[in-house]
Amino acid sequence: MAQLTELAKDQSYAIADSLAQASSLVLELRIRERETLVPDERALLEQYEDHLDQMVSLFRAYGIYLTAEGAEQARGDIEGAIAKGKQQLKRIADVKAAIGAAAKLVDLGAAILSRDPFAIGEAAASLRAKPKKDDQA
Amino acid sequence: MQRPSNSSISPLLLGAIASLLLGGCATNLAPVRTFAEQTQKMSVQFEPMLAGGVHSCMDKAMRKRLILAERFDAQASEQAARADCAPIAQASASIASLNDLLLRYAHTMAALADEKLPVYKEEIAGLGDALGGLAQPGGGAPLLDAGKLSKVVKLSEHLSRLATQRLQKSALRELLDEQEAVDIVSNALKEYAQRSYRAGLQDELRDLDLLRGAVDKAAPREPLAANYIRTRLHLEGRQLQEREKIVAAYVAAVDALQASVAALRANFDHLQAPELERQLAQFSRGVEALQRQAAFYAPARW
Repeated sequence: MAQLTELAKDQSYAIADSLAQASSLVLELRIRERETLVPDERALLEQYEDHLDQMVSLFRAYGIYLTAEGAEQARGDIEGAIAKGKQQLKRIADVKAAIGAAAKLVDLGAAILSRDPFAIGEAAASLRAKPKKDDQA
Repeated sequence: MQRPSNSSISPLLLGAIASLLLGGCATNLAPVRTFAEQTQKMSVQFEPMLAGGVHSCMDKAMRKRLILAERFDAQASEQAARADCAPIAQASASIASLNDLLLRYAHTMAALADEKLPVYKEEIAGLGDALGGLAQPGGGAPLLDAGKLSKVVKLSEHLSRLATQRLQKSALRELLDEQEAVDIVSNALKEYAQRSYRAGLQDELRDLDLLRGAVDKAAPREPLAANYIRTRLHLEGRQLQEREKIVAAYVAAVDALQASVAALRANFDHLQAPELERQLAQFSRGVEALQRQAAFYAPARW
């Protein structure tokens, strides 16, 4: 199946290239015979070129589509590795946040031991606050 | 909360562990950062190729019509060209997402190799302050004296650093282990550049030669218009040749990228290895050459 796709892909690109060359040949003919052809004939040749160019676009697009298709499995593998990497980054961020939280818990413990109601209130408020900002304070 | 004044862990042992960790944990991930940075640049330079491929298709159609159409209508010609080239534009979206994948791969790698990641100074200092504020109940004397506190703080910092570095390295290794997938995806991008983008440029160049001949024939009748168009065709031809060179530069950069993943993977436990350094330098030079050549991307517009 993969081999078949590979063959189709190479053929698509090759057919697109051949059609583009055919379109150039018609263009050459149209330029060379411009003086001898009647307007209708020139318009007909132009139409042929347009059709050939449309086919070039279609075959090249199909080749591109098959190129991307061939990398689908690999895309999934890399997406998986990126997701795991991001998980590790989050774990590291969590550890940092946990250390910050631990410091605040110790503050609260100390305040409770000191039996100072004002200090208890302050430490409890700091614990509830967003970790990032309080770390700086 | 009563604690014995002399801790069960002797300060000497703490110091020994701390100095051991200090020596053992010096990991320099700079080569990984270099690789990630160059890969990101490479991905950015590939992106205009996708729109460029569609422009190539449209420019070819517009150029022919402008010079040779039996009845030229600029707006209708543009609409027709856009419709004819739409399949290429649609198929290119899947290639764009592969290029974006490579960019995100490099972003994640850069974030994991960030040298600030294993630095816990701020967090541990906060914990140290909190611990330093603990007093023995009743007496008011500190629970941990200054010397002991500083050792606890240092040890915590080193342990955190070590644990983080272990996480960083294992995640980076997993990303590098996708070497084969990275090869497949970057080969797909290379294939697009060579078989589609470059093919479009070659079509344009071939027609350009023919159109030059047609303009020459019309020159005696309309010398001013002929000269103007001849100049345009000359400039466009030159730019098309420069755009073809972008493909060659991109292919060389992809080859260097693939060799760099292999070298990083092989030398992951000794990132300062000279052969890795040489490989990454070659990759950087390749990307630099691509960036220089990418100045010629913008197609001449009608």
